[in-house]
Amino acid sequence: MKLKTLTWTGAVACLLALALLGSIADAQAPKPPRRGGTLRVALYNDPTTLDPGTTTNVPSIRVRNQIYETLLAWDKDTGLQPMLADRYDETADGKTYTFHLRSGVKFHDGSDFTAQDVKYTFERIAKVSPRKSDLNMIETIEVVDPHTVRFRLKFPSPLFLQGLAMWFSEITPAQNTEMQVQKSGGIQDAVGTGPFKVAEWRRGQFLRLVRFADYKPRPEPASGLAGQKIAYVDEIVMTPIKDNKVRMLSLEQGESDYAERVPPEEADRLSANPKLEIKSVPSTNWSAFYFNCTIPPTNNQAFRQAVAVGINYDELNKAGYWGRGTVTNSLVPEAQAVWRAPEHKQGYKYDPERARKLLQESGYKGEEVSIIAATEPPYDLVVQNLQAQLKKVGINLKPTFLESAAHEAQLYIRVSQKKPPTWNIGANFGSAFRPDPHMHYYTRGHSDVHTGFCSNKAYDTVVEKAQKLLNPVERKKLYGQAHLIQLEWVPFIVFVDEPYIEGYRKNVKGVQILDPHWDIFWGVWLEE
Amino acid sequence: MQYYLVRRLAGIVPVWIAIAMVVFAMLRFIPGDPALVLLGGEATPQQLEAVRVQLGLTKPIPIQFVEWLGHVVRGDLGESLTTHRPVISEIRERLPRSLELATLATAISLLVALPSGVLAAVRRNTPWDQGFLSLGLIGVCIPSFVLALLLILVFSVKLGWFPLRGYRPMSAGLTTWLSYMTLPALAYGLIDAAQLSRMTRSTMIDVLGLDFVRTARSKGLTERRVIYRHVLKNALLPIVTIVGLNFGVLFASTVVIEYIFGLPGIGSLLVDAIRNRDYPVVQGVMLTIATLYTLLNIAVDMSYAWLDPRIRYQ
Repeated sequence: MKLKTLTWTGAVACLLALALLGSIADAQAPKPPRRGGTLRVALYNDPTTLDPGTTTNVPSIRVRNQIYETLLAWDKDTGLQPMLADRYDETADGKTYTFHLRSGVKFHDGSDFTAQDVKYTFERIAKVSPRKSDLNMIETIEVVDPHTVRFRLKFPSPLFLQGLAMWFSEITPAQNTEMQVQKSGGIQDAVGTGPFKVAEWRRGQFLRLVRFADYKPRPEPASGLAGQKIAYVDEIVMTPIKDNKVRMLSLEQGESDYAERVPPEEADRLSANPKLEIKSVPSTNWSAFYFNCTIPPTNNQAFRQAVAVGINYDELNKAGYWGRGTVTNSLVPEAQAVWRAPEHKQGYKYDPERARKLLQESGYKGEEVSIIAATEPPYDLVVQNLQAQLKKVGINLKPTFLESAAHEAQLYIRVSQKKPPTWNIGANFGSAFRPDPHMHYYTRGHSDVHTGFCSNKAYDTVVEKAQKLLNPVERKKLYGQAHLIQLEWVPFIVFVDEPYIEGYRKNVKGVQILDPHWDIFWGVWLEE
Repeated sequence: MQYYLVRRLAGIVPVWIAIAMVVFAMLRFIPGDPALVLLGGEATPQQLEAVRVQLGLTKPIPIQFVEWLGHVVRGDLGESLTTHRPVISEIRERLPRSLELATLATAISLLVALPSGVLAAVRRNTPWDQGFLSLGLIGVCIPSFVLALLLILVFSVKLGWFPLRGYRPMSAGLTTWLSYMTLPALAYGLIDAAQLSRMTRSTMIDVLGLDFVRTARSKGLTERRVIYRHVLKNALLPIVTIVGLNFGVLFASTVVIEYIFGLPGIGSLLVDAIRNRDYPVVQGVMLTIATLYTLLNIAVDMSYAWLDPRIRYQ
C-alpha cells in the first residue's frame, strides 16, 4: 500500500515537473513573428523630400529605405548583394555590365518593374542628382529586353557597382516619375518597389506607410538592406521629433515604439529602463581634425605628430560620446569590415613625453594654435577636452565655434572658394558614409584636394594606383599602405568612429540596428 | 482715416523692397554655401560647381536679385533648394500653425497679465502686489524652453492630461486642437504675461496718479468704474503697443517651442532654411514676416483712435 502511494505520488510529481518544464520551455521559446499593428517611429528630423534623385538629406534617406529599392543592396557587412537585379555579367575589360532583372516585381502604382525604369532612373540621375558625378563612368544604358539592361562604362571603375547600391540609385517608375517631373519638377508622390508604400504624408507632422500587398520578397534570408523583406506590421507612422529630450520621453512614455538617434548622454539612463532596448553599434561616420599645412606651426610635421601622440583618445571619446564611440585613427571605419586591412588597426599611442619632445623638435614656442568647430554638441565638448589635453603637453589651442554651415564653409574653403584656410586645425565631425575607401582616401588626403593643402607624393601615388585597380583584395592592401603613410605624415587625425545608437520598446522584435543601413522596418513585428 | 490707411498700406511696398534687398544681400555675404551643405565636405570642386550652376548661384548677385524680384512681383517666391517645392506652398502649410500658436499665446498672456497687473497696481505695496511682482520676476527669468519642458513633465508625463507633443488642426475638433495647443501656448503666453503684467502695473500706477482720476473719484463714481472705465482705458495705449509688438516677435520666434512640441510652423521653417542656406525659403519667409509685422503695426496704430477719441488720423 505504502509502495503504491509512493509510486502514485512520484508519478504525479514527475508529471507536474514535466508540465512545469514544458511551460518554462514554452515561455523561453522564441515566439514566431506576428503580423499586424502599427509601428510608431520617432524620427530625429523631417524628411525634406522623398525624391531619390534630388536630395542628399539623411532623414529622407532613412525613411526611403522602406519605400524604394536599388539594383544591388548592402548586406549587414556592407557586402553587395542582388536586390532588384537577380544577377549580372561583367566583361573582361570591366567596361560592360549586363543586369538580369527580377521578374514579377511591381511598383506601388501597380506598374511592372522593367529595364526601361532602370534606364530612366539612371538617365535622370545623370541630369539632376547632386551626386551625379559618382556615376560619371556610365557612358550608355541599353534596354536589351524588358528584364535585361546593359551599362557601358567610359572606363572600368570599382566605384560603379558600389554606386548602384547607394541611396541616390533607388529605382523609380519611368512613366510615373516623368509625369510628376513634368507637373512639378520632381517627385512629390513617392512610388517605389519596397515592402511599404506611402499612404499619407503631412509634412512636419507625420508620414504614414502601409504594407505593400503586391510586394514579392527575395528568397535569401534577410541581411541588412539585402535579402528577404517581409512587412509584418500593417503600417508605420513616422513622426519627426527634433528635440532630443522630447523624442526620448516619447519612447519612455510609450508614445513611440522606436526612436532614432538616442543621444549618447541619455543612453545609459534609458538602458536601465526595463521596457526599453537601447542598441549602440559603431557607425561608419568618423570624426577628425584636419591640419593646415600652409601656416605655422601646423605646416611642421613634427608639430602635427606631437598633437597626434599628445591626445588621449579614450578621454576624448568619453568627453564627447560618453565612451560609446570606437577609438580609431583610420579612414576606414570598423563598421566597414570588408575594406579594413590589418594595417588599419594601427594608430597613435598616447605618449605625452614624446609629444613634448616632438614639440621641442618642431621649434614650437607656445604660440596660439587656432581650431574651428561647429557649435553643436557633442563637438563643443570634444574640442574643449582637446584644448585641456593639449595644454598639458604645452600646446596653446584657441577654439572658435561657428554655426554649422559657416563652419563647413570655412573648413572646406579650398573646394568651395579655392583659397587656403586661415585656421590651423579644422574639426570635422560625422563624416558621411562612402562605400568605397577611395572616396575618403582621395577626397580627404590627396594633394589635389586636401582641405589644408597638405601634400605627400607617396600617399598620392598609392591612392591613385588603388583607384585604377579592380581587384578588391589588391586595393585593400594599398589602402592599408596609405593608412601607414597617413599615420606618419599626419595631414589629419581621425579620432573616433561615432556611435550609432537607436532605441525601441521591448515588444518590438526583429530589429536590425546597422549603420550605414539605418532604418530597416521590414522583418520587424510587434509582440503582444 | 481711409486716406491714412491707404497711405500706410502703400508704405509697405518700400519696406518690402528694403527687406528683400537686405535679406538677399545678407544671405549672399554670410559664410556658407548651399552646394556645400547639399553635398558635404568630401565633394569635389567640380561637383560643387555643377550644383551651383543647377541652383542658379553662379550668376552675378544683382542679376539673381532682379530675377528673383521679378518672380516675387508675379506672386512666385521660387522653389526650395532642399524640398524642391514652391516656397509659397511651404509657407502656406506652416503659417496657420504659427498664427494659431501666437494668437492663443497672446490670449493667455492677456488673460493672465491684465487682471494681475490691474490688481497689483490698485493694491500697490500689499502682499498681492508683492506676490504678482515676484511671480512676474520668475516668469521673466525662466527661458521658454525650460518652462516648456517643465509643462511637459508635469501635465503630459506625470498627469497625462495633454499629449506629449504633436499637432492636430482645428478641423479635428476644438477640444482636440486645444489639447495639442494648450501647453505650447502656455509656455509662451505665461512668459509673455510676466512682462505684460509688470508693464500693466506700472502704466496703471502712472494713470492712477493723474488729475482726471481724482476728479472721477470726487464725482462719486464707484472704484470699479474708475478703474475699468477711466484708468484702464487710458493705460491701454502702451499696453496695446506692447501686445502688438510682442505678437509679431512671438510669431517669428516660436522656433524653440515648435521644436519641443513638434509644431512645425514658420519659425522652424526659417531656422532650418538658414541652416541649409536655402536662400529662396529664407527670403520668402522674411518677406512674409515683414508683411505681417507691418500689417500688425498698422492695426495697432488704428486701434489708438478707438481707444483714445482725441486721436484722429487724416
